[in-house]
Amino acid sequence: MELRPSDVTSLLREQILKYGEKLHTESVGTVLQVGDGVARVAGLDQCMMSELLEFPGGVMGVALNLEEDNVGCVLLGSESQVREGDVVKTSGRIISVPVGPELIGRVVDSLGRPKDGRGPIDTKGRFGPIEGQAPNVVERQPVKEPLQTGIKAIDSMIPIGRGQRELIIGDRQTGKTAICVDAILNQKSTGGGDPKNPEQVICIYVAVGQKQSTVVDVTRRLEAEGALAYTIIVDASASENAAMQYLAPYAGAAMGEHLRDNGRHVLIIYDDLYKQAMAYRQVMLLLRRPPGREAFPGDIFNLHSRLLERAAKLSKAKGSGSMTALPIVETQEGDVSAYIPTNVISITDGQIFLEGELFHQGVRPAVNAGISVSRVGGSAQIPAMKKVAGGLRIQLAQFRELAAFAQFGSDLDEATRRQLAQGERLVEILKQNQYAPVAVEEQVAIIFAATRERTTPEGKREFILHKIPTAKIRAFEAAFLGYLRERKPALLESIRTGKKMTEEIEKGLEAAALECREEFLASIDDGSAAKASKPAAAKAEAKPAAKAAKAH
Amino acid sequence: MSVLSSRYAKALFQAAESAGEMEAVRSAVAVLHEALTDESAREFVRSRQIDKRAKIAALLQALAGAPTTFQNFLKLVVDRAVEHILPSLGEEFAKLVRQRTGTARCLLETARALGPAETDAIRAKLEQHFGLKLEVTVTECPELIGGFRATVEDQRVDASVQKRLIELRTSLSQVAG
Repeated sequence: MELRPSDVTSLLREQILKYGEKLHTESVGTVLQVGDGVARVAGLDQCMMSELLEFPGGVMGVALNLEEDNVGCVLLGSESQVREGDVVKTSGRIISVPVGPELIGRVVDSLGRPKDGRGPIDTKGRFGPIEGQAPNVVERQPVKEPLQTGIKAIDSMIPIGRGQRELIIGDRQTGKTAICVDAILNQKSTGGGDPKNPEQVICIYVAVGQKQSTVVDVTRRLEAEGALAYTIIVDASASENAAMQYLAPYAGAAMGEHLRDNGRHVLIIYDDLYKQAMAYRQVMLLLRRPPGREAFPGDIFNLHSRLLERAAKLSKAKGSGSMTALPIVETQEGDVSAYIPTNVISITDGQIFLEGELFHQGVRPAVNAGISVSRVGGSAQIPAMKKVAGGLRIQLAQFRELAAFAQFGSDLDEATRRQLAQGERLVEILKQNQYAPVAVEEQVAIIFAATRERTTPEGKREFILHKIPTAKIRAFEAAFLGYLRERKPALLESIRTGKKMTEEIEKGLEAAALECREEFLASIDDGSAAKASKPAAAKAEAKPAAKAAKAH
Repeated sequence: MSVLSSRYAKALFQAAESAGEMEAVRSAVAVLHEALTDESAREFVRSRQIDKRAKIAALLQALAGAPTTFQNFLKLVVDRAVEHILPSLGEEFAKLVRQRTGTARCLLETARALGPAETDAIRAKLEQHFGLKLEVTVTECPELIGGFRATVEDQRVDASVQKRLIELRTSLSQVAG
């Protein structure tokens, strides 16, 4: 503990000045019973719901059950210091956490206390109640500004808008957290990673019941990529008690709300709400609230709906701030019809479904575009993306239908083979490495190249990428983006700034794609391209196509 | 204290009030409370082996001269098999009486022994503060270091040096992180 003499002096001065102050009356009670992280306290007649209670030894608790003759509360610390008969005091404060820009770049627990060993966080006395009220209808405006995740499959087909709630759902080890981390990394492009820049989207990552190692990995990755500077991490990992785990998303929401109400844009990730529901179930069963379906308490739906309702795009009168929520829910064996997944699906404005089978086939991110949806839709896309991605959805849908039949047939006509080949290429185009978000203008360019159908000088219709073997599509993508960055930066710039797809840009992109394609084919001509372009390979394309079609 | 005993106490209190037998019921409750401090008496009251009629007869004999309201109350309690509320009835009833008369019990803990004048001065201040007449019990508690701590029902006023030192420690630890 380090103390400066000046601090001690100022504290003592305060004490001297306030020495004659009027006495405060505290409401007190006695511990009747304690165990499993909950306590029952007799007395405390004037206790409020969700009020912080002070136990001996500095342990805090939260009153959750106000009964006729006792108060049921959860302990937010070690219960080993609490004994039967101990005196409990009310604090007069509803449970709240420190809020403000001072938290940005820090790792804190569910009560906003620092966990990163970088000293105290001075929020200048600002506290926000963790059970904050969601903005009402007058204070909101429709979701219409895009929040780019940098992930092609999402930004093109399942766009997320600022103020939206988009669920990320999937089994364990399907890349749910990876999508969120990528989305955080991509926010660097909004304000250069400078949290003081009002355009910078501030990210909040709430880890609930996660392994400590996962939280450390995420923190280190964000730090290494320079993304921690605009991120708050609320850590309630598996070693924390159940009460801290169930409170963590609310604490994160309170921190986000303060920024949102001050006109900032916030992206908050709850990783994950299934574990939070389990922690809540544990606490409520110990407090003897009646269990319902799957032993969850009756208010489990409201637990999530009141949390997610706090994500909003505020009206101009309220400063136009926004809070976008990406809740994660882990499913068991892909069962999306379980209790918690269906609850959260019905609350959110869409879901991104990640499939284990796709993940193991190498389709990463393993987004199942067929059943993933964004109910905000195209209003959360820039017009250029809306235009090119329209073709993408249609072509993928055709591919899905065809591939289902193609796996039984051996003789396929030219048109069918062409559509299957196109589908496979689209699946390849939508693959993306982890921690490599793509800027929106580059996404537009590559999706344009993949979906563009042109008429050749010979009068034939062709997709630009069909001459490139499927296995080389990702290499071509890298080459094409490199080509654009080096030789046609003006094209990318005009998409970025204009956000629209003019005829001029379309022509420019087509010409660039054709030129790059020729160069690319020439460069691989002496190696694998020769093998891949053999007619036999083309015939064999029909079967793997069926596998890839499942992806979309 | 259970919810049940507080409900029965409240019902007895209201019945005694409407029958105009408050004083008699109050003293009968006090006699019962005194009697049930004995473990064997408590066991007798709680026992399910004893016939109800025999139990009622024994209780009424022990509390001979109790008003009709209280006798009826005992019969009801035994008849409904909720005799376990009887040991805490005295406490609950006394609480209701205190509420009605605007009095409260006060545990006054002081760092050193106080003279009667000092106790009266503190009592007067506390009565003014809480707006109640206080039945003060004084105990000596050296760990308070100085000052006093008063607990009135579930309200507490802590004017001890110990509390100020704890507050100072908390403030210093917050500054030091």
